[in-house]
Amino acid sequence: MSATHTSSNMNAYGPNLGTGTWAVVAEFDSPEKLVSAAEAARRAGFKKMDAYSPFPIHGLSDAIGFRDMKVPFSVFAGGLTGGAFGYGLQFYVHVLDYPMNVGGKPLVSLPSMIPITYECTILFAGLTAFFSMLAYNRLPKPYHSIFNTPGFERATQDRFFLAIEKEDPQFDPEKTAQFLRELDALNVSEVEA
Amino acid sequence: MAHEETLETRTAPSADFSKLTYPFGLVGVVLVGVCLAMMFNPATQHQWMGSFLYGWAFWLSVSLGAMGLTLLHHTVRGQWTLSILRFLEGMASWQNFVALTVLFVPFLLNPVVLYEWADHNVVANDPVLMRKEWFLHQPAWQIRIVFVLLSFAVMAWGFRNSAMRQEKSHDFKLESGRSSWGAASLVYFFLASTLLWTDVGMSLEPHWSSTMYGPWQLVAGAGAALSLGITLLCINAKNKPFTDIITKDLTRDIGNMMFAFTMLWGYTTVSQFLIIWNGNLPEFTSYFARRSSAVHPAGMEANHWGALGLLLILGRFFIPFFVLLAPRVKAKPERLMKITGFIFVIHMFDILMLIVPSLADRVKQGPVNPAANLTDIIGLLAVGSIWIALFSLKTQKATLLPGYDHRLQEAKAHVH
Repeated sequence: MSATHTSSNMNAYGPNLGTGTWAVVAEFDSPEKLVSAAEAARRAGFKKMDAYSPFPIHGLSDAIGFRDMKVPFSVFAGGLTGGAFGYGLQFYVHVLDYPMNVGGKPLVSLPSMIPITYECTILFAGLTAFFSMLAYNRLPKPYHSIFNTPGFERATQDRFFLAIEKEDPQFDPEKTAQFLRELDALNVSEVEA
Repeated sequence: MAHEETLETRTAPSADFSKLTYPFGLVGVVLVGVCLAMMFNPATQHQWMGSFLYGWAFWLSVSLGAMGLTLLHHTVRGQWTLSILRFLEGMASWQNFVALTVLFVPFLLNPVVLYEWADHNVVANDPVLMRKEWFLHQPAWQIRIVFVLLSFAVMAWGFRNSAMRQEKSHDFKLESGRSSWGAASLVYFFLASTLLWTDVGMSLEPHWSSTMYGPWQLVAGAGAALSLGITLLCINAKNKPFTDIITKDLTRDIGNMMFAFTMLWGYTTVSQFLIIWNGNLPEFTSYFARRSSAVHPAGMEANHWGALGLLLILGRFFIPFFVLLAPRVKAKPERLMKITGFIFVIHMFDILMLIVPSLADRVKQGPVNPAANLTDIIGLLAVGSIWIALFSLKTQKATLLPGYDHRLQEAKAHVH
């Protein structure tokens, strides 16, 4: 809890929320300025940052250094699990639990097992993609500190925001705010958590 | 950084395919001459006609695949195939289809050597072939093949001509016209190519049939055409005009398309096998029995076509599948072209597996037979040299990227 914190920062979400600084947020009036500011911040060594814009901006995720392989690898693991499950289920049913001669074919007939193995791979991979994306993004999220930013409602209209978060090792409320001001920001505000 | 890029871009050499035309043209004429001489000699004709048909079918499949992708590109006005459109047009040019028609003449004149249904004595003693005679009938077969190939030549000419007129006039109406004609042409293209593959390939084993044959070969050919287009694009990634468009988004998109066609190949191949395996009826399983090391007709105990099947399962599906799954492969042209080049080479074995075991003598020899392997390579090179010469001739006739569509250049400019 920082010394600058005052009781007026208490909000409707409870006593533990709205305490202390979350980030310094800069507001820009064009996507180009946002991308170049993000690139400058990344060059300056900031790592914990996020950008908010009314529409997808080409190259922005590269500019903020966003690179996350968690979802692809989870999907791959989910697919493998699904394949193993589909094959295992059929093996258990057709070979171990209730062996039945179908058309004189061997009990372990790989071709007949392909469709279900394949479908289970797709199903598990698809479900893993959906739920792991939600989990890694910590969604659903009823409260997010970015909404404490003054004028943030225009992030869905015509303004572009860059937040450098307190968790960044280089974060310093004054210096970071000064750095962002020099990047041609319209406003820079220290935002409460 | 951006400044250095533009300097490098400005001084990049231009991609040039013109030096391929004469050497390949010359080699092609000589090799086709050799093949013709051997094909009209009764002592050698069975083996040489088989090998020449193999080479012909391989390049046909690439041309048909490229034609399908070109039609798809025009129909949806796609961005993914825009970077390789001129290569696809070169592979499926009207000149290539006319050349393929001409090179098929030896088979049109003398189908009896490879196609048993063309032999009246065989048909007279075979009730199954007698029932199929209304379709597998020499003049009708000859007319169908020539008609379909020439209709593709006309289609290829029409779409290319429209694109060339748009290069001059920048008239968007031409592009939307190609979109409408493309959709209708795709329908005709699928029906007609199925007919062509049925006549040329499936009728080599006239007792057997598969409704999957045409789509299966179109998918395989489209994958091969795409792999060749991507390989040519990636080899020239540092040359004009491709250096103006290559980004990691572009290679990722086109790599994903290659991935999709790898999946589609696996899907059609397994579907056909699965249905036949499940039905387990002798007249349908014969195709796989001839190509199997485990279940094989008498006299074929040591022929091991199954080894070639294993090569295809790994090389045409599992290896490309897992390699193309990795984003790092698709991020750089020099990485992507290694796997697409590999796919193109494996396609040669795919068509080998399709055509050669259908031939009566060759199926007994197995996949490894030095004399036959040599004639197969000559057949592949003979048709291929002519095909490559015409391809390079076609690619010289226009800019290597469409001049009326700047989406790719804009995408690259936006990144920097």
